[in-house]
Amino acid sequence: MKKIFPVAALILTALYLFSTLRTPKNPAEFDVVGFSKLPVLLNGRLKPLDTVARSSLLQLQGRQTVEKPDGTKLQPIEWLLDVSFHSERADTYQTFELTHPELLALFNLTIADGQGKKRFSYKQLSGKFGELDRQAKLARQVENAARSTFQSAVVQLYGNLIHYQRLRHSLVAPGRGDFLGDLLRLQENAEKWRVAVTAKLNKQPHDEAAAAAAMELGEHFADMGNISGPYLVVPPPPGGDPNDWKPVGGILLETFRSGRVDSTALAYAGFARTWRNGEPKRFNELLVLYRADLAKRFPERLSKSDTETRFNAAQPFYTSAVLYGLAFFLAFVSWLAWPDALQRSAFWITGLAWLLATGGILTRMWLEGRPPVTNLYSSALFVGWGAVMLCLILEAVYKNAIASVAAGAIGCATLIIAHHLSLSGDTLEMMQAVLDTNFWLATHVVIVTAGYSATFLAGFLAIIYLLRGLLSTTLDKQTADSLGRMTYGILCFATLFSFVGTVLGGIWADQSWGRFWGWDPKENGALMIVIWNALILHARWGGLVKTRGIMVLAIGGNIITAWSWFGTNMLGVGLHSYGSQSAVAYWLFVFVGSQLALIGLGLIPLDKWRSFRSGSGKAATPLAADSAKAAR
Amino acid sequence: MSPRVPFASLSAAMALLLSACSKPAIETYRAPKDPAPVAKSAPAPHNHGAEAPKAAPAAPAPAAATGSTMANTPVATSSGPGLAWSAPASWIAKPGSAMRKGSYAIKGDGGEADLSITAFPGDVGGDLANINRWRGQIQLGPISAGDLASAVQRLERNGLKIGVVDLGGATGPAPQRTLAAMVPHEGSTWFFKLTGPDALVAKEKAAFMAFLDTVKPSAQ
Amino acid sequence: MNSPLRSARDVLVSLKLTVILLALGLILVFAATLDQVNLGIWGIQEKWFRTFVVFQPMGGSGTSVPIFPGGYSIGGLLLFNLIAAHIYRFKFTWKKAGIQLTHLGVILLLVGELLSGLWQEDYTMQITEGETKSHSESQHFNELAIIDTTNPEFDEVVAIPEEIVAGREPIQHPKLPFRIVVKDYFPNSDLGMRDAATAKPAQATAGIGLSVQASAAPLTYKQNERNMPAASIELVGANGPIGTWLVSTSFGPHSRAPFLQAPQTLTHEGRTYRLALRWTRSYKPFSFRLIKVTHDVYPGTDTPKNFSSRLELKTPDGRDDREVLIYMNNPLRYGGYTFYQHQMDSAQGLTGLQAVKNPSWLIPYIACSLMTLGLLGQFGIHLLGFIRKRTGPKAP
Repeated sequence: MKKIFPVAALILTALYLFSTLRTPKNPAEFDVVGFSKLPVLLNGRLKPLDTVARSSLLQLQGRQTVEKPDGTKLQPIEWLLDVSFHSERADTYQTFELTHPELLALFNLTIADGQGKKRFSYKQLSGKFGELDRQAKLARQVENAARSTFQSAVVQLYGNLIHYQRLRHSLVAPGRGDFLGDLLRLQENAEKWRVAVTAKLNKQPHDEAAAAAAMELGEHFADMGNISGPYLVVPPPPGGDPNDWKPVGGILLETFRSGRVDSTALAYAGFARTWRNGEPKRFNELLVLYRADLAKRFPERLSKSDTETRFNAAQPFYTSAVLYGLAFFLAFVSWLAWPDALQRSAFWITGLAWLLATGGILTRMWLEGRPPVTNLYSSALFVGWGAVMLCLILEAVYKNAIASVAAGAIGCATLIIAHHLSLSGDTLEMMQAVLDTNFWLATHVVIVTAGYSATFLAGFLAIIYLLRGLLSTTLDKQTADSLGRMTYGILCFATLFSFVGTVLGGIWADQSWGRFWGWDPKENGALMIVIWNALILHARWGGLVKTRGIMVLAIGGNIITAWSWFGTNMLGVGLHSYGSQSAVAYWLFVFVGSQLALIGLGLIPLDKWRSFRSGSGKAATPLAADSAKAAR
Repeated sequence: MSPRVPFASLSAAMALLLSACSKPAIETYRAPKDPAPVAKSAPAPHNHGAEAPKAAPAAPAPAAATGSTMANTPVATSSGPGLAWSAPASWIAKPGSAMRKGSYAIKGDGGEADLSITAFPGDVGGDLANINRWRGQIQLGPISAGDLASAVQRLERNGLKIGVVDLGGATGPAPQRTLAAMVPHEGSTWFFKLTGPDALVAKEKAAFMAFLDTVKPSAQ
Repeated sequence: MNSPLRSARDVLVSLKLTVILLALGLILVFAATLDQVNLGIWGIQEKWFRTFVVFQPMGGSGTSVPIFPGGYSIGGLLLFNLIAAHIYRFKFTWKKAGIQLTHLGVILLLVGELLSGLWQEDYTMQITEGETKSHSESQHFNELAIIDTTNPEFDEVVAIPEEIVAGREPIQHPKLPFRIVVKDYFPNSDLGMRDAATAKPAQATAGIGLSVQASAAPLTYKQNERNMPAASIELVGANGPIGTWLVSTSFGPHSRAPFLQAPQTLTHEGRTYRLALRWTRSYKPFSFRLIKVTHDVYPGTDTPKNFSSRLELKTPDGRDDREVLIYMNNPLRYGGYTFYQHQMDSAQGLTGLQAVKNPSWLIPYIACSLMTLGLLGQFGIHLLGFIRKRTGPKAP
């Protein structure tokens, strides 16, 4: 049993893991997976339509699945197909998250009307757009930071509705029953219509019907051109600037000059007709043709786009988070029962989850052509990744499940944080001009982020020490001793990384801005981590604190690191301030509060701790003597 | 080694170092003559980098919300030969967007007016369609083709044929006015469209007309 | 050594003091970061770091109360503590070489930051396309410039820092044939048209002050605003007063209103002078002409990809006459200055370069190399010792 259990756990986990990596299947006859791989230009980079669908859904409702009114589930790409080609149907899907009670009242809705008590359809909201428009105008006059929660909710919902509108106008003109028919008629009559319109404008005799038809269609194209987005659909002509993608509406307006309807616009109009009419066979044939055309022109980009679709479907970070959670649970239980088998299982599962996260991060790096940390989202991934790596090393050395518990907790927590950060939209975004340098992103940013990892890990090890010592009798001398050593070692790592990273940041600043240090909030945040870690080490070397004191101080490190990571962005000043959000402020507040409470617990005299009550209060002393020796 | 000597000298050195704060002093120097002032304006502080304006694209309102089937501005899809202009210093340049060739804010007592500069291929369905679209945006009824000649003022500037319309006279709590110029150029049509509170736009009309004088084909 | 001195010394070299100072430093940095919301990055450096004591203005009364030791106190004491501890306990061993190297680096870093605070010049240079400039301007300091423009070749400038004007003492200088008496001074001012019916009679006897009046305005600390001081100054020659002028940084060619743009001049004893309260200038022995600014965005977005300025760099002696390109993360280092791309308004063809002079710029590099080496060495030794210890007894 002792041997078999870990092996079984490993195999089962591996099977589960591989099952998530399978090629996604089409839910029906339509080759929606193939459609989802079609590349478009989004946020300055070629991405599959799948990413458009997923990031849009995250933005609108905070999750990627869509439930139809009849309860059946839709894949993100099916939702996008309906939004683009069958908007009467998509308007009934409840995909707008709306929770603010006053805003609900504005729409005469109650939470009972919403799916999951919070999601509403475009149709449900459509009666009150005029009023929402008015409220949004009022709210926009207020500065971002000074808005009430109602105003923030108004602005957010308004933005989401615009986003939805833009999606609807990106591929075909909504509300035209047969857009392909329109385009074919245009193709046939292009020259005749152009002549009629020109004559009409010059007040010469003209074919009134032709001019009217042309102008009506032109209005729709202009409409599409204005409202489309956030992505561009029509690839540049062969030999053109590879970044010069255009919206469908814009390219169709050019028809009136060129007399030739663009083939991409025709293809999407074809998709629209076959999707609406339920003709999977013709849809799939058209897809094959269009892809073959693209493959000739962008073979390399097409393969990146395919990989991104697979990556989206596999959701490796979600799987990792689940496995980390499982490892945490197993490692925790191992302190109570079956220590060996569970400890080893937890270790293996952590390892697999970490490998999967590594693969995910590497894939992102390849897709983006960037070092791992480029924005707040990827920093959350990397903080977790780095901390878990350190845990794996610690666990391989100590084999007492402590590091596995920490790995599970930090790994899972950082991935949850990352998920929430991803709700603001596409996470593979382009870099602001000042950050557009791979060298410094690869050195300064990565090392500073590794410093965050190590400081957090030291803090979590300290929490384990504190809770086990205070609430259980399991913190025997040997465990306390190894926890003390682990924390101390990680603190040294944290000092080294945060210090070197901060210094590299100074050098970057000197290279680009001509000054080494500017007292910018982000710089100060990094400096505070360095000072705090240095303070802990000096306090230990000076004999001012013993193990318990180090632990309490290390928990303080959590507060300082969290501040440096998220708090400094919220001030909205300085050169580094990117990505600030108000929901973050709330969670930062909660986190700091919890850490302060833990510090308070840590200050309870040692003889009240359950592990030390029964006369084993000397547990920490030999270590202190040992560390004093080390410092000399 | 007695620590006393280094201690004393260290203290003295520190005191010296820390008291070395600079005092302001009058300076004299020879300087080259200032060149004749170039027409320029104080720039709007515009930090680039991480703080660069994350301006959302000028997103159109949901069509249903504004009740119009056309959004505010034509799309900028024309590339190639363009137009150049110089704006008065009091107009504040706004970051351009994907759809706009240029964008300015004009602030006044009554609020803020927006000047958008856009271009797109062809003639966008003609002057009448454009004018009626703009009229709709500020709650004015459409005009007929017969009224077109009197509604559009025709100018010629720098070799460009410019059609100017002044759409105002709306009623209501916050009447809006639109001044717009349509400039066909090299197969595209350029739109210079100033919209804002009635009084402000009316006041700014002279500046707008002077601004149109500066519009000319760009060198490139 | 007697015992109070000895105990004082023991405190000064103690690790306890180090820890306390680190804690105080942490609080200082944190508080200063928060205060940036009110004062901006520049304001907090003056208030919190480049001072011995931090003063906090209390309410509206205008009085300031000392609330915390400033950056100079904490940094200075930390420096003292470090150096003293090392002198007192110094004994070279290989085992401690890393720590000592690290601390030497910290000492250098603290000294370097102090020096760059004292010596660094951080000015901006705004140029429009086609314009030539050989001076940069401070974003924070102002000066009263008395410019003798008699010579057609060059100007003779007497630049009086605003702080001296603010002292309101009569100002004399050997290069000036008159005294300057400061009659009124506002650190930040609002301008208004003089209303003959209600206003007090004008102090000014010539120039813009005849039609414009200045009044005190609250000081601003916002990041994209600056204070616009104004002063009413009287020039007094050997034979009595010459006249009184109103000067303000709001006047000058950059002003929006045409009547504020005209230079204020006077003729005295056959020489012509121009008076201006202006942003403190720093002239360079070379000039820039802006050829072109470029602002790239990522395709299909508004996210800026790059900002760049193409300039023509010229020295009067003709030794340098070439084109240079300054863009993000690629500053120009020339003549002891670093010019980096700071602002841009491509619609107006205007670029803003930051021109930084920091003679002590090399110190942080040396300090950081020392510290990094030291830390790597120290933790390397620890790690080796740890691994050796672990591989000894078998893990349970």
